[in-house]
Amino acid sequence: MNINIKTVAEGCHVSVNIKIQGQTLLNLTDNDEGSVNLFSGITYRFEWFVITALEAHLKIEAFVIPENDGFLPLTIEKNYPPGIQDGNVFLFTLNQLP
Amino acid sequence: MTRTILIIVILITNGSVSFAQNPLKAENDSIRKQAAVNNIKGKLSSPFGTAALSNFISNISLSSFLQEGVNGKIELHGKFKYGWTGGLSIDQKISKVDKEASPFSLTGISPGTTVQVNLQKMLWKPTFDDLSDAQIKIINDAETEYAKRNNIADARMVGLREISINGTEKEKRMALEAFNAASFKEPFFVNAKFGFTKTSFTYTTDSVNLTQASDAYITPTFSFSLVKAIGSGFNISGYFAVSYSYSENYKAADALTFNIPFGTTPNYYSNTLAFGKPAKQISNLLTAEFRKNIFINNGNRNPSNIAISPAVNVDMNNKMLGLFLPVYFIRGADEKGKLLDGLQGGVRFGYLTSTESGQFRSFNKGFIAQLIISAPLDFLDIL
Repeated sequence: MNINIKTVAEGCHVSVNIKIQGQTLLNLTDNDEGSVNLFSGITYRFEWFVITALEAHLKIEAFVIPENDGFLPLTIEKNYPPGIQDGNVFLFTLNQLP
Repeated sequence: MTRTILIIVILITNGSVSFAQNPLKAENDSIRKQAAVNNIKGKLSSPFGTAALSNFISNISLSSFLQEGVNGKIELHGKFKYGWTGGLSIDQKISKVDKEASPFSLTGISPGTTVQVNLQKMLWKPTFDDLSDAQIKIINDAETEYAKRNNIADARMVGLREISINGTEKEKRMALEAFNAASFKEPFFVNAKFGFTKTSFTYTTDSVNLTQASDAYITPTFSFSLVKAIGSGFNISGYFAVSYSYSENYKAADALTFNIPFGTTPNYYSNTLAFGKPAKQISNLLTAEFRKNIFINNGNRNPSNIAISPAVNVDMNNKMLGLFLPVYFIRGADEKGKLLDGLQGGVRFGYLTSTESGQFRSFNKGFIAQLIISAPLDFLDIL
């Protein structure tokens, strides 16, 4: 299964990581897109960070192919004032395909 | 040279046209979303496909700027993968009566033109590695509660900053602690800039006949800087920078007005000319600067905000050392009197001395205090 991620950064810098046990499987930065192969039954980390220089717009879109209940399609879309940093992290585990 | 520039401009113009037609940039969100999915799927199904050059093009911009009587400027700016940014600028100073700039012509670079290339590498690897899976689970559970309470369909969309603003006191503390646990949150920048300027001078060294001579010079400039952004909670509050710059330039001799007899008549005409060859000046400057906005909070520049920008400057050619502590507390205003966000006035304390042995100035003699009105103080131009 692949997780596909696309970032849009206007007036800011963005960093998105897919990690497992401290190892980075995928790192995306500004206006980037990429994918990585993931396995079911393993817990991964989805980390995102943003740092803004101007009035900024951030969009991160992520989805898994084929669709998997362990990671439903995600869109993080936010507007920020200048001089801000933000981020978050969550865990996800893909389910075994039938 | 002119032909090369024309080819570059045509190529970039074509790039802009394809950019405008790209459905990934469509106004309609559903079209854009579908295009994004197709784009990703297309890359996955193509041999060797994953993300490649599509963003390389969309991250390049070309812009021009003209301020009558000041300068005309063209900038080519590119944002590339792995934190690299580069740019090329062509800037020509123009006189008060000029309404256009022409930095290049068939004879080459026009006088008053500066061509500059800059390259920047951003080193930024933020991560929550210091949080264990168990700690992240606790945070995620709290976010799920927060999302439910605030009718947010998917808790994964929530940012820690949002919780730090709208959450309960307990959630606010948790969000701040979680974010502070992230390492290498603020980026580090390495910048290099190289450029040259063409200047031309008309002068005379002949005080009898006032025979005019003209010289043109091409002088280099180079600068290198290391910058670390400084954050506090969810704010970027300043930076620390060290930089070195080298520049050469020529300065015209003082202009003198000569009154010359007009033939054998009792009349005179006057001619104003620089007397003497232009003098070469070299600047070798080492600077360390810390810039911090003291009371910034969640991006809101409080009207009572104060910023400091202490700096140490070493002029290696003139063997001078300057220590400065500007304190900015006066907000700027536009021409209609409306207060702006940026601070641009305050006081500057400083101490200037020679670095030559035995020539240090006493604090009393070297101390300066000035009221300053500057360009708006920018904390984020490094980003």
